[in-house]
Amino acid sequence: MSPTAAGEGSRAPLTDDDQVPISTRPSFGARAARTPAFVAGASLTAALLLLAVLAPVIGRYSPVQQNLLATLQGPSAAHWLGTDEFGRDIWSRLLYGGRTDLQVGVLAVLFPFVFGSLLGTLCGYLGGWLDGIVMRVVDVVLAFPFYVLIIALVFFVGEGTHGIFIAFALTDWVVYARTTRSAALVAVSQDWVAAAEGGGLSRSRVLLRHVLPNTISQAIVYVMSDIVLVILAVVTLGYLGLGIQPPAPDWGAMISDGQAFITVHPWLSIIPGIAVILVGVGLSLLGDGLADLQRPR
Amino acid sequence: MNPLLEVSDLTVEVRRHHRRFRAVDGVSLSLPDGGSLGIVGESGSGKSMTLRAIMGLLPRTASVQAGTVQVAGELVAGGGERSSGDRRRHRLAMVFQDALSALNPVMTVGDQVAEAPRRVGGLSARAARERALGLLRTVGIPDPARRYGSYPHELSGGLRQRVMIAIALSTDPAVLLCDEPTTALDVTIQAQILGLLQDLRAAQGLGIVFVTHDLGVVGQICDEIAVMYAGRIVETGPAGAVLDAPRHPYTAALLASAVDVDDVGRVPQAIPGEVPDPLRLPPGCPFQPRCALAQPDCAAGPVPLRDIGPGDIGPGRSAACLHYDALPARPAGPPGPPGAAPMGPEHG
Amino acid sequence: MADARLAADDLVVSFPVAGGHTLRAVDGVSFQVGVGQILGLVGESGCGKTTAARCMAGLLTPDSGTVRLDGAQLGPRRTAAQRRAIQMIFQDPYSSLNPRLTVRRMLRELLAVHKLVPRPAMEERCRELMSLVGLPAAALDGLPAQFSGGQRQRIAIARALATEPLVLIADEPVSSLDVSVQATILRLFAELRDRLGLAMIIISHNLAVVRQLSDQVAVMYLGRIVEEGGTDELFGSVRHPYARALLAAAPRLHQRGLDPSARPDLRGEPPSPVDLPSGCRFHPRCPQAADICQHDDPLPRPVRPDSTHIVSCHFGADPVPG
Repeated sequence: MSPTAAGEGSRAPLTDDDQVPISTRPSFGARAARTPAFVAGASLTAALLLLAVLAPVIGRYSPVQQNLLATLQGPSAAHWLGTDEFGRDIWSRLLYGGRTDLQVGVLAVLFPFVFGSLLGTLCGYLGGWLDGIVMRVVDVVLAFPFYVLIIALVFFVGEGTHGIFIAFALTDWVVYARTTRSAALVAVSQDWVAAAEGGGLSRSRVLLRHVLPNTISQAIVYVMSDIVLVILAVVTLGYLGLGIQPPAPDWGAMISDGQAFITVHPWLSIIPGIAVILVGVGLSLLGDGLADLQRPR
Repeated sequence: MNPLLEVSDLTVEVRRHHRRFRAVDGVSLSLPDGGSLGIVGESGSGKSMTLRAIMGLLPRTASVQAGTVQVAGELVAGGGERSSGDRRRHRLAMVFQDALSALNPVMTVGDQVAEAPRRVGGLSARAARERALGLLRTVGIPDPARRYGSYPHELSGGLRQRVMIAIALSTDPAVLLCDEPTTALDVTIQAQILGLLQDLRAAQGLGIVFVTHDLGVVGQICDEIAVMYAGRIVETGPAGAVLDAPRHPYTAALLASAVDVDDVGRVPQAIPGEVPDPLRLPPGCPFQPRCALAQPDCAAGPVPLRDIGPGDIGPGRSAACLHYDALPARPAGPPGPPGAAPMGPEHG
Repeated sequence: MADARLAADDLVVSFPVAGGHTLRAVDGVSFQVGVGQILGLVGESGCGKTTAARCMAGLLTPDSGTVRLDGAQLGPRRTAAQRRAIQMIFQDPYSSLNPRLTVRRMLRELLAVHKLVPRPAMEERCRELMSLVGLPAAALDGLPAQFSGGQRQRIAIARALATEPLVLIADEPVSSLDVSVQATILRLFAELRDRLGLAMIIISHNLAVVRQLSDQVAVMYLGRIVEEGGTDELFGSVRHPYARALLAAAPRLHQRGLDPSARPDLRGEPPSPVDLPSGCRFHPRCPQAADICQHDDPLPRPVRPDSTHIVSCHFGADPVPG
């Protein structure tokens, strides 16, 4: 028999590393607080969300209430941001428009996020013919310019929010699929997946409980910028008259309507434009912050 | 006569997560002409960082805070001046651990070897190619003319490492800085590469600084050894003397924990605890929390590297320990005969 | 003869490679491990040891040949019970643990899926597993990123032990670790073998590690076992020229300078496994190669009649000339 440690005190427990310190991991909150992008993005986004949620409270008028005696007024005590060409309070329209746009933005990415991430992870994990077919479909969708596709679909399906949802559901999932597929391929090449399968766990369990949590983190970061994209698309569609139908307030429509008065009352278009920028910046920073947090230290 | 390479009190500071720590702390080394120095340590010892500081290849988060590096009497780093990168590159050359990531994947190996003679040495394309072929031959690459046009990924690990050595030699250096050059190689290939380095030393009088964690390798190829722990040198001396009779508890513990293919009777002893976090070093001697010989005065204040001996351990030794006398002075010799001879004639 | 705990018979694994060629990573490999025994599988890169190990662990399906557990053949799709019995420990502790699972969740999942322990007893079992590998109970709350390499490797071992396996296959378990930490892991393996009666296969390119731990050794080259036998017997009297070169090249703590006579006269590099030499695979590099070696692939034979020390060399069974 070859000599081993068996001879000396083989019944004694190993004690070498009992006192070895295991490095402590600060909680998510603590790390998040130290990440500047996250703090900035989360604060800005939260503030904007709060404004949107509180629209009924801090919007002082109904957004559709017209007052033809007080059209195109500048900022005043009565109307903080002035009124538009129909005498509607811009501040209220901004808040309610924000509500609509943010809602649509978040809801429109939901299906692509869930469906795309699942499908992409599945493709990366299983490979084979499924991967081949799905990736070809992805290639086809990506071959079309995004806006052309969106506009065509909305035009075809019908305007308004449900048209927007369908258009995004059909086109936006591809990026999530690609991202999570890459992440899944990386995961599969690592030994811990082999270890999980070797441990007797079923493939579906390994896929859902092990691989998916690792691939979804990248998708979550992308969701942030995707919401921005959707809002911009909704605004663009609204500008083209294919978005949210009047008289419901919507930033895109506000920008578009204000276009006629751009030389005389530029604020009609600029103000909702600034709102779009702020939401975009907030969500982008939040996305960057999440990406920073995801990265292993 | 000036030593070929002289490092004095080198200190490298690294920024991590908005905090700073010393990856290399007051390291002094000296390499005579044609000598070979081994720097031994585990992860976090600072051995690779030392080499990079000498070579001027520190990452952006690291900087030389103090100390100087001189090659043949000329200052190449530190001393308050901006580091003179040019001079460094002509006297010093570095061989990295992983040839696949150290070589340019889209250039042929021949072109990479010829690059320095061409761009820096000013040779014509043809002359540079001739030189490159010569170098490929020197490092023992079979059929150099055909291999000239190969890409790194087409070569085996051993051949790639030889190419890297050829590139290092192409600038006609005085000192070869090797950062774990054989760690990633199979053991039979490692033996060939070590043989090559030994031959180059003998033929060209090259100095070699060899960084490794492998105590067996360092004993084979190095004249002198410096053992590093937590950014400091804890022991130096002639390789054989240090390995036979270490004068620092860490060196002794490292030797005791190593598995040796001949030493079957001995059970390797792990070192309790872990390498300290450089951001939270213990007071006094950095090894003292894990040291079997530790006394209260070990944590009281800094323990400098001091000359010791010669006594019965021989000349040229130094150790950063207050209680090295407690270590056995008698050298632990090679294991007994049965089973020790690797090329075994029949024992019957 | 009693069934060995784990046995491989004539495993063949090949992969298609670019250019329409086939790479035979494992070309007819057979070995056995008994209860409470450690088999060391040694070889350099490309010899097929990891591929063979993955076959045994059920992570790869061989082209032909069988793997038997306690005499029963294991088919290409293993049952959960069969998977439980053979567990693998991987080389790289930094990629062998799911970065998002705490140690506790990882262990509990295995305990639950195999219904090894009722729910109320799971926490206790997790603590037991931690203490088996020498980690404090607090480690259960940690994520892999919080641990050092040696600690991670021990967690990987705890994971392997969670399913109460009969066989552990460790693929280069200490190669990625610092020297001073290696000793801990090696001692742990020996303890587990003694305490739990596990059969183990240790794969390594490091002869010292293999000699330290193993009862039996098998040396592989280019997909075949070229020499095998009891550890003391094999190291005491190495027969195959490749194994001899491997042993000569291993760094030794007490060796000073590169003794030219000790330098292995192993020429060149291993050939591409796609383009195997004729006859004995080793003959182009072999210092002892003779004509017969170019034509005849030597069969494995015992070095002495009735010996378990087997070598595949035309000159292996004779006394080696000094």
